[in-house]
Amino acid sequence: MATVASLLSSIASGIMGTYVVIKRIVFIAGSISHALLGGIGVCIYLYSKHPSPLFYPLNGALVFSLLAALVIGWVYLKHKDREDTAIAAIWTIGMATGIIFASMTPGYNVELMNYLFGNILWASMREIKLLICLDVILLLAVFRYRYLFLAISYNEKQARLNKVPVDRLYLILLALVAITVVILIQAVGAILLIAFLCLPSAVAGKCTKSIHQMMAAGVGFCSLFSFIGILLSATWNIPLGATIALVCSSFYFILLLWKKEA
Amino acid sequence: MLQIENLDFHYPGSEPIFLDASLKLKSKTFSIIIGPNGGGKTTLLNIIMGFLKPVKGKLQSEFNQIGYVPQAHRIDLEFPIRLIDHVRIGCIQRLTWWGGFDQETESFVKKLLEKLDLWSIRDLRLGELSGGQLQRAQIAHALASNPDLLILDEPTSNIDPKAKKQIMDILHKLKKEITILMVTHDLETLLPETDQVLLVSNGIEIVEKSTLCKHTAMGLYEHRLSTLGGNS
Repeated sequence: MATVASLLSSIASGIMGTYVVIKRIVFIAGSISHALLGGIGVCIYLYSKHPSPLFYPLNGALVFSLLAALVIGWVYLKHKDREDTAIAAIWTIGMATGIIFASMTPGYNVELMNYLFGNILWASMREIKLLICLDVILLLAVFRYRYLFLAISYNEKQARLNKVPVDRLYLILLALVAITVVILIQAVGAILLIAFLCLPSAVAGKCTKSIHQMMAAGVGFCSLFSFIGILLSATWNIPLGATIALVCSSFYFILLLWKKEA
Repeated sequence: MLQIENLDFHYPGSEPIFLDASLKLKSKTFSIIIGPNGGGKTTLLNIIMGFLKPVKGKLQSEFNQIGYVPQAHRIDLEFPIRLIDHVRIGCIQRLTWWGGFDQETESFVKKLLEKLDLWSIRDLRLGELSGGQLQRAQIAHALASNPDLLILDEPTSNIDPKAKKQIMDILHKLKKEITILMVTHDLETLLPETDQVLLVSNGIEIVEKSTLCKHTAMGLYEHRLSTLGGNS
């Protein structure tokens, strides 16, 4: 189950990580990944009061991450100079909401900790199905919009002159990043997620020529880093999410040094 | 045709860049913009392209599609994009419902790359191209949208004389088909091709080629100084 969840996470991360890196929206992805803790906290609280599938934590995470993506996107498009402040505000509002609701729910702190730091080993069948659905949505959207996303990532000004609906596509891209973040939260957790989303793609970007090659290599590196992380975590009995994040960071810096030497 | 009348423009909280400035670009002409750094050249291009709104004045344009070649230093050479994909996204308006390009568009891209002598290096990443190849790649991207106005921001800066000549040959052929507006400091090469010279220095001044004392930028600045009474 962990292997399947890890592979599904790697597909999402390799593809969307590429856009996050080339569009330079790493901190937006970071903000979304922390904001969704609000949704998880609210759902944990609501589930404790009214146990219903509607209040599964990942549902709350999905709603909050999409809302965060749209708010940040709107601020970027309408008040570009305030974007960094909005990113920070969304980041903290989500986390604060999650902490408050989790504190109101006795006995559920362990679950919140799992989402904070991730643990792919406890992925259930229900969650695997959700991950498959989200991966399929992601793949279809990226296939349909591949050249449009490339156009707005490369040069927004030229894209606008070519009558590309840049604003709409930017919001769609952020919504897909939000979906990816939800997929990845189980693998590495909200706090360390940004390393798994960006670093394998950044590594891939150093050794590929096109965006499509970068995506394929990104998926490969994500799978490799997760596999090494799972192996090291099991061998030394250390937290999995943190191990994967450290593996990603180590490879990234090794490559930077190697490229500098070359 | 493009016509700007009585243009006022300033950035919020800053001194005016244009006050009551006017400009006319006729179809299928080659105009160049010269002027000192910070004089408003790029601002003027941004107003023409619709990225900046004039504070006052009227802009009328009959051009349907604008192609834009940015300054070389603004191009992200780390960006993972092959030359052929760069030209394909120039044809983005021809995208099919499934998000790709049909055979007709692919042959159009091929012809365009062949015309600009880029076909053999189509799979190289933009960062791997030489200065001249990169500028031709930018022109190919801009032409892929079939523009009737081509705007170029210093396309011949920092490239060797051979590459410069190649770009000039391309522009020479293009000026019979479309309108070209180009920011440049490279007057000596360009002046014979030019129909109109615009001096942009906190205003827009049309400079007659025949009044130029020398075919150099200094000549134009001297001309402007003389029209202002030599006090600036």
